[in-house]
Amino acid sequence: MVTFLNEQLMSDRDIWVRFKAGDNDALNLIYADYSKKLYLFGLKLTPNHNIVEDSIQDIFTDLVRNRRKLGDTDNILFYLLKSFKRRLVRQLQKEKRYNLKENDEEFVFDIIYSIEHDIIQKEKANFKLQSLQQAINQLTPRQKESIYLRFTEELEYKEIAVIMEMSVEASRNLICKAIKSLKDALQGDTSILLFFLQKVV
Amino acid sequence: MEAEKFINYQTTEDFILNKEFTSWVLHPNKELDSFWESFINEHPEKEFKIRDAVLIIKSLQPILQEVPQQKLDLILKKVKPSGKKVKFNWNAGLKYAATIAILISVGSLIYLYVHTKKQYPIEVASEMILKGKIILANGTTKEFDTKQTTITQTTSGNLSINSDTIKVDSDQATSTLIRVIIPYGKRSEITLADGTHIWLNSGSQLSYPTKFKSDSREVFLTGEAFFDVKANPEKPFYVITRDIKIKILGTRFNVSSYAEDNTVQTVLIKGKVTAGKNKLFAGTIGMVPGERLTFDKSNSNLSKDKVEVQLYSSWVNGYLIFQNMPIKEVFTKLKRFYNQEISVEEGIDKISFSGKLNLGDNLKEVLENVAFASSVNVKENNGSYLILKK
Repeated sequence: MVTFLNEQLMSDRDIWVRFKAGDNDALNLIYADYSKKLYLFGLKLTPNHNIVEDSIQDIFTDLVRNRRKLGDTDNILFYLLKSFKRRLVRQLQKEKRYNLKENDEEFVFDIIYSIEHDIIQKEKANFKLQSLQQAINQLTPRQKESIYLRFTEELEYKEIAVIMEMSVEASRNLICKAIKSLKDALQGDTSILLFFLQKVV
Repeated sequence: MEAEKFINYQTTEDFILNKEFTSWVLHPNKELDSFWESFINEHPEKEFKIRDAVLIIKSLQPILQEVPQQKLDLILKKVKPSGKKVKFNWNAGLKYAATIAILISVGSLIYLYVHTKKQYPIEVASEMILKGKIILANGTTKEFDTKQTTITQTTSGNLSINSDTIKVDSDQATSTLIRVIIPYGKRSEITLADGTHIWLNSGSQLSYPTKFKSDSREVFLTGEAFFDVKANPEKPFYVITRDIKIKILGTRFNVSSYAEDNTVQTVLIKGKVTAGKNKLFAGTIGMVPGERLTFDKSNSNLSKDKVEVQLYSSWVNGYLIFQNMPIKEVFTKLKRFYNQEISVEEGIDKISFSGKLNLGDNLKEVLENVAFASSVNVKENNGSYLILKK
C-alpha cells in the first residue's frame, strides 16, 4: 500500500520506519487511515463500543511508547489488526468472567451483507440474487471473517492465517469453500444463464 | 498484468480467488478496465464466469457504517506523546499528514448566527403548488413543469429557465428578490450570476436578489438545497433560513430546513482552506468538512456531530443513501421526492433500513427494493402506496 506523506509517495514499510524513528506525522497518518478500520472490525466482534475504543487506545498507546523497539512490516493494517484483535478478544474474555450470562458463545464475527440496490437493478434474474443473498447470510462467522479480511481489507492468506489463528492452508481452504458455496447459489445447477450487466464496473 | 495465467482459468472461483482480479474489481481504473474488456472479447466463453465473479466480489462489500470520529480524535490526543502541539485530525479519508500547520479554526468555517431579525420573505405553502414557478419582483410569474429544471441567472440580467430566456430589469438602483418555487416531486439546479450552483430539492423555495449587495451575497431558503458556493472572500455568501443564518467562504454544503421538520440541518462537505482572518469568536460555531450542525426548533439548541456526508448529499447525484435509518423517514423522503402518497402501517417504526436507492427509478421500483431488503410489503392503489409489515 502506498500513500502520500508530506506530498511524497511512501510505502507502508517507509511510513512504519518513519513512525518508529519518532515522526509524528507518520503517526497521524497511520492513525487517520487505520483507527476507523480497527473500529469497524472491532464492532463485528462485539457491540460494546467502549471496549472497542479502549482497545484502540491501548494499542496505539503501546505503539507510541515502544516505538523504537518495534519490528518491521510491509503491511501496517495487518500489523495493527493482529495486535488489535488479540487485545480485544482478551478484554472481552475478561469482561465475560465478571458477567454471569447463560449464553456462552465465543466471540463470533458478525457482519451483514446486503447486495447493493443498483446491482439488483441491473440484474434481470432477481431470484438468482436472492439465492446468492441467502447463501451469503448462511456463511459461518469464520467464513465471514476470512472473507472480510480477504475481500474488503485485501490481506494475503498468510496474514489472514495469523489473525485468525489457523494455518495458511486452512485459511485458504476456508475461503475457497465459502466462495464456492456462493458461486453454486448464484449459478445453480440448471443450464447456463447469461447475465447482462451494463458495464463490468 | 498478463493475460496468460487467466487463459487457464476454468471456473468463476478461479477469478474470484485471484488477488489481481479482486484488486481490479475493488479499485478499477482505465488501464485495468480495458485489459479486462479485451480479455473478455478474446475469450467470450469466459465472459459470464467473469461477470459472476465481479458480482460476487461486489456483493461481499459491507454497507458503510458510522464511526464516532470525535471519539477517535480524542483517543489520538491522549495517545500522542506529550509536549508536542496537538495537530487536528481532519477526517479519516484525508491522506495528507497533518503537517498543514494551521489552527483548528482555519479551513472552511461556517459562522452561525441564531437569527433574530424578522427579515424573511413570506413563504408560500409548497403542498399547494403543482408547477414550478419563478416569481419576479414586478409580479411576473413564469411556470415550468419539468421534473428537473435548470435555471441560470447571468450578470447582464438575463434569466434562463431550461431553454427559455427572460430579461430581468438589471438597471435598477435597488435590488429586488427573485423567488424560485419547486413543488414536491420536482428538482432544480440554479446557477447564480456569481457562478454559485444551488441544487434545490423537492418542496423547496429559494429567493435571491437581482443584484447582490456590494459587501455580501444573501439568499433565502425554505426546504433543502445543496450549495456549491463560488469563493469570494470580499463578498461572503449568506444562506438565510427562517431560524438560522449561515455565512460561507467558498464551500460545498447541504442545508435542510423544511417547515414541517423539527430540526434544521447543515452538513459541510468540502471547504477551501483560506488563511488569515478565520477566527472563532463568541456567538458563532465553526464547522469543518464532515460535520453536521443541527438546530433544534423546539429548544433553540445547536449541536454538532460528525457524519458520513454521502448520506446527506447523495440526492444531488440522484441517489439516497441510508444507514440504519428508521424506515418511516425513508418513506418521508421518498414521499417528498416523488410527490406520491405513501402510508405506513402502525408498528413499522422498529424497522431500520440501510442501503442505496436510485432516484432515477420510478417509485414502484424503489419501494420494491426497500421491501426486498427489509421485512415489509408494498401495496399499490391508484398511484398511492401502503407499506405493511410482512
